[in-house]
Amino acid sequence: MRTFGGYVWADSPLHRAPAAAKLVGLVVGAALVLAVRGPITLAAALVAVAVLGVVSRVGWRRLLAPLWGMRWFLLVIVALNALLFSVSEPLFSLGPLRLTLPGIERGLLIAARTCLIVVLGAMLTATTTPQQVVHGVRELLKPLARLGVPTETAALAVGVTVQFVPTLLRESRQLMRAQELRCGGFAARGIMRRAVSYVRLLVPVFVCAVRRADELSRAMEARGYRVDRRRGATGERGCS
Amino acid sequence: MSQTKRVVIAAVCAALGVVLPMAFHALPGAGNVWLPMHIPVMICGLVAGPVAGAAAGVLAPVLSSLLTGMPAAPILPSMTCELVAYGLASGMLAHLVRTGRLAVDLYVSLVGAMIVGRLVGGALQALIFSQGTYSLAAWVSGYFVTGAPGIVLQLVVVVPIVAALERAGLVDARYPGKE
Amino acid sequence: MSLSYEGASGGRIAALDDVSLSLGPGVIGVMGQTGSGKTTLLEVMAGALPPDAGGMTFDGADALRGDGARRLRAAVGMVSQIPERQFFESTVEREMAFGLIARGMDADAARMRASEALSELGLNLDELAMRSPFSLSGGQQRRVAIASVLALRPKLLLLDEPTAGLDPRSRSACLDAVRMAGRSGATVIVASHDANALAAVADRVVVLERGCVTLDGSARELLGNAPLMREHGLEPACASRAATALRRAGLAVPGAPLTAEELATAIAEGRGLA
Repeated sequence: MRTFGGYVWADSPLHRAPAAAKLVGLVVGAALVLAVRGPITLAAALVAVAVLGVVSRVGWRRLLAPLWGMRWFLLVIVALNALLFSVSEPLFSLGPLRLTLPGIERGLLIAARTCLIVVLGAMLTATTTPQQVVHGVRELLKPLARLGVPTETAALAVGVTVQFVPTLLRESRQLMRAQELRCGGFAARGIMRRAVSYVRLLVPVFVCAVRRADELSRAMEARGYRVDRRRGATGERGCS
Repeated sequence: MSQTKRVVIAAVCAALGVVLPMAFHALPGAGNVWLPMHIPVMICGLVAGPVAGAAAGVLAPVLSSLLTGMPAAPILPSMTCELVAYGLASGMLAHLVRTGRLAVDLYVSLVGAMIVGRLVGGALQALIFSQGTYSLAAWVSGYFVTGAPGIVLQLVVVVPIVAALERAGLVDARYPGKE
Repeated sequence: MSLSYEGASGGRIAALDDVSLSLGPGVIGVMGQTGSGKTTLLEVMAGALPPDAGGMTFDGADALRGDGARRLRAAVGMVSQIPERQFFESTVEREMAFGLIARGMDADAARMRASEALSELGLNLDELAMRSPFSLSGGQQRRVAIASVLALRPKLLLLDEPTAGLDPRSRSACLDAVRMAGRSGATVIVASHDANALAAVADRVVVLERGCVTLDGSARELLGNAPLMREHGLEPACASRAATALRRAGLAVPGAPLTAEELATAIAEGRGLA
């Protein structure tokens, strides 16, 4: 059982950085990567990401693993671009598909940019615990409060979601084992049968999850929580 | 249903959106094929309303990406928009469609939401997210062919789930008094 | 056998450490605090979790592989903790029939078995058949869940905390059904930290502590020995606590009473009134 969320225990400047900064950094980094157009800028981006990777002390296996999981997707990107992008001087053609050099180049460029963004994302998940993520999101949402965005409610929702993920994961796995005992495995053949076999997993999971939601919301209301009247964590709440 | 409960249900459905791809990925068929994240978002819209559905549509993919790395960052924006569209559409249709029978209401809302969601997703892909390489053929094959098992799964699974939630008294019955 | 898992911050934790048991027909209670390995033991016995080390035989055949494992799967019935969480069908009848039909029974035979099993738990299939399992009360749900496993007539019946959170009537219905299953020749294993429940049904009791078996004896020897129970961090049965207290106060209480009735009889005997 791997540590939840892919977080890697280590100490590095990235681990210690505040989550809000990392979240903004990810968005900025992704934007910069998307601006890469040619081999020079691509090389610069590669170096930058590599340096960050070393600094994060997370290990290349963890950072590169998602790329392996995406290998088919990346292949499709390269193939689609190689075959459909351009019509000039095809090296090979078959019907509407034309294999061109500019197409291959573009495909590789897009694939490389995708990989870089994915690695940046992996760096974020590996250096930030779920609680830190929630905190970071909260911090980032604060300025929006002035625009009338219900940030407290949003922050609450984010917190509840993160809090429930490990619980629901554990329960779903237990349920899967219990249902397998009841009736044998889920490896049915045929789409309809497979879908039907999911019913016995999904119905109990949802009932259980919504039951918890029900209990939690009742508990919150019993303590005076109201969605519209909240004014920050220490605001007074009227009990009606 | 109180506002508080709607918020908490949205959060819980978002949590399921994060959990289901993980919990059941040992079963054959990758996320793209079975679309496990769409189901909680749809259910959220159907039982808690369009705003809750949209909220789940934002929370699920974003938090899933932040916490587990799935979906990958490049796909995140388009997937988020699509899921928000699903949540909104399923909630609004559930509110508007009243045929007198629970199952019919749900199927209509579900199919309607799927169509709207896919149109929105396709439009966004073509206009913003992958200009140039996108085409009708890619849209059809991406959504309907590889996503076909997911569509079937949603159609099969959503009615029993909502029915069970109603019978358990956890969500308001659409047609109270009918067993 | 042994089984370990990876703890939250790395390192391996033994869920079961060199556990060796030989079990026959009747009701065997497995006691232990939370985290002692009770659920893991049951899951291993059900064939759901393979042990890291060690072997398991069922009816004389190797139960971890091949034919023996298949026979175990066909003969085992497990009631997990809070089993009503597994409900998914639209009617009680379908929920009960689910496991039976999955094992190849035809609809009519399934209905009859379901009806028998429900009545063993004090419920009537005709009344409940068309109702949604989600609309039943907590106690009814638990009884339906247990009945759905009993209906399989398993030779090895495993129950994980079957009485947790139950109202008194449902609780005694469940215990009655467990007792009956044990008498019918099945091997029934009940994992529980409720000494009173085990006192009512178990013939033999095994105590697990941090994955190791620390006590193994007849129910009366163990559950009736309040100081021994306390030594192992377990709450003794109410009746034996009362007996110990009464003896300390000078009243003669012969034997090792486990239930209120036995205690009353023992006190009466002690005073020469029986």
